[in-house]
Amino acid sequence: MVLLKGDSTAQIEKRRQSGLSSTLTIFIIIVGISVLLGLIKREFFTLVNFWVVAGSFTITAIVGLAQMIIIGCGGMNLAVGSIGGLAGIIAGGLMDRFGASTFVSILVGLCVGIVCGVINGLLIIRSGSSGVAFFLITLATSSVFKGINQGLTNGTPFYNLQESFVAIGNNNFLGVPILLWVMIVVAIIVGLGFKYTGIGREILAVGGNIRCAELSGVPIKRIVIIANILSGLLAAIAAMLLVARLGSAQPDVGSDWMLFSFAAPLIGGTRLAGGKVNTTGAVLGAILLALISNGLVHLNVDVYWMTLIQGAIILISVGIERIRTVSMEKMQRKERESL
Amino acid sequence: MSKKVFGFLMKGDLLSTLVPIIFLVVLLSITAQGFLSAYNLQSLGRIVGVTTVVGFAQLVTLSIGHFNLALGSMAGLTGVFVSALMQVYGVNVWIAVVVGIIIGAVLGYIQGILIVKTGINPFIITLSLTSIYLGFTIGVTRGALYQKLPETFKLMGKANWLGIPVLFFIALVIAVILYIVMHRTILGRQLLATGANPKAANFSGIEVNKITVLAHTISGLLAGIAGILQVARMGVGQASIGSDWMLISFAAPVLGGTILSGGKVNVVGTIFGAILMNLITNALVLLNISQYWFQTFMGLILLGAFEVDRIRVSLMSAQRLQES
Repeated sequence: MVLLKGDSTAQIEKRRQSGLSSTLTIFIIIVGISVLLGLIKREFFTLVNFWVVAGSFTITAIVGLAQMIIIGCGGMNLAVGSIGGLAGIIAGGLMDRFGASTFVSILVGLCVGIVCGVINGLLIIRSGSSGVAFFLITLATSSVFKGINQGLTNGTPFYNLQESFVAIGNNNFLGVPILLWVMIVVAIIVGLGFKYTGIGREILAVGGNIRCAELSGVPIKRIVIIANILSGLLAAIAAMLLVARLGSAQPDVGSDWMLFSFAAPLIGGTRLAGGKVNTTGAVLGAILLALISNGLVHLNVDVYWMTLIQGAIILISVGIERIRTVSMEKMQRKERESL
Repeated sequence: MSKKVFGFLMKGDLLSTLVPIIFLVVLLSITAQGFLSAYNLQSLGRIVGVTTVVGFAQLVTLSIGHFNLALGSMAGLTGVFVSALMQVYGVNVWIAVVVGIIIGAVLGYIQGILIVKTGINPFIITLSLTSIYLGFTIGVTRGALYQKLPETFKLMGKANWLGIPVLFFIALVIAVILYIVMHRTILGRQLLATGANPKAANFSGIEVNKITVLAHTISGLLAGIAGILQVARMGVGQASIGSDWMLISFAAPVLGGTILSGGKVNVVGTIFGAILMNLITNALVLLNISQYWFQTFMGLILLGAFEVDRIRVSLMSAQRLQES
């Protein structure tokens, strides 16, 4: 694709906007898969099934956003699952053992997320805030948080939750599941936050090029801590929603979040190297993953092969996204050279 | 004066693990009942053997500055495969083990090729492969346990020679080979050069891509061996082998002086790192601390290891500044 001398600004702009197609592509794929599944299996298009899929993708989406924030900051949060699990069981434990109210339990759960985030942030700063630091620190804290979780619960779940709490995970509001409302609100805040707030832009600056950000006056340490706090907060929200939906606080909540937490944002166009996020894409990515899992169940795929298929699909999706990014970069480079 | 001593302790990689080890051994000998029993020490020797090889598998990838997150699944797949070969198909133990080692190498090779050919971030590749390899194991075995393993094989896991577990000796042999490769061969030098500075290595004529694939292949090979050793140690082959190895695979090398950004490894240190980690776990068991708190301790140990790594790196650069 060559730029000719006579090209107007409008034409150049239109070509640059091909970045939107990431979100559009996933949307089309989702619609396509839904139609396909609906044709193969009638049960797919029922309200019950929508509820099942929604119950799954809303939580995956929030977990994906929790990871996306840290990816945008140039790192990774391997502890999203453990933070979530810890927040979930502490909230559940408060209700089960101490009869705490829904409001208090949720508040404490959120605090757990925040505290874990602060711990992560402080340790990462100590290690230089590099991408490797994020990986290694959260690898260790993931174990610590999981360990505290197991130490507190001895492996047994908390069953006695407040009714109002469980209702959050299972009821509708104005016909739409509360889970979905929460996800939408979170996604809007995150999306607008990255686009229009100073903090959002500073997080992306740190992720894009930490030296440049530092030289431009971005307070690296503060931003890293804030990003980790936000990530921990979202992980806690997702976990409590899951606990509410399940009706019991299981200690292994979050234990299988790691892969999906990366897959959703990456499929959605977030750059793993940092500096660029796609909130809508991350949500759509979560929907896609939930659809695929749901579809596999409807297609009666052997349950023993699920893990393999899911891992393979994620690798393929990320691979496709990578091919798109590479070809787009090649296009942009050619445009720049011919200018 | 104390700063010099502290610096020496930190730089002397082996000392930074040796001192805590000696301290713990003395402490446990005095306070914990049964620590010095042959049973306890031999069981410790066995698990240290396995942990050491796991650490070696990660060490090889660390040498080029990469992380092998899938080594647990590689070990699980290999272990289960070898178990199935011996139990279901009656394959000779030695042949099965050799096949297992080859499988491990192949799994690592696939990972290396994917990293080099697709350009997808290695992190995502190894993370996905963790699921893919595990999924393959679960899919093929349908969660089966392989407990009727040949006696000769189980003997490897239980036997002692001169009072020291065979598994530990196997780990030592691997350690010697790895040390020679890393520090006395061209391959080792190329691995470390690639890890220290890939671009410079490239300009020096090292084929970085080939070295990367080789590193991951060797890592997979060692992971496969670790899986086989674990099966021998536990006496049963199951898909869950290696599922919680990610953390210890980093802890042992880092405690022992391997630098995480690549370019510097410490083979002997990894052994001591494995000993230290398992001593701490052993202490927890002997002190009757609930096993549910183990994870917490493991994580804290790792954090401690990073702190040591950080201090070590800053001391190294401070020393370089002083010398210049």
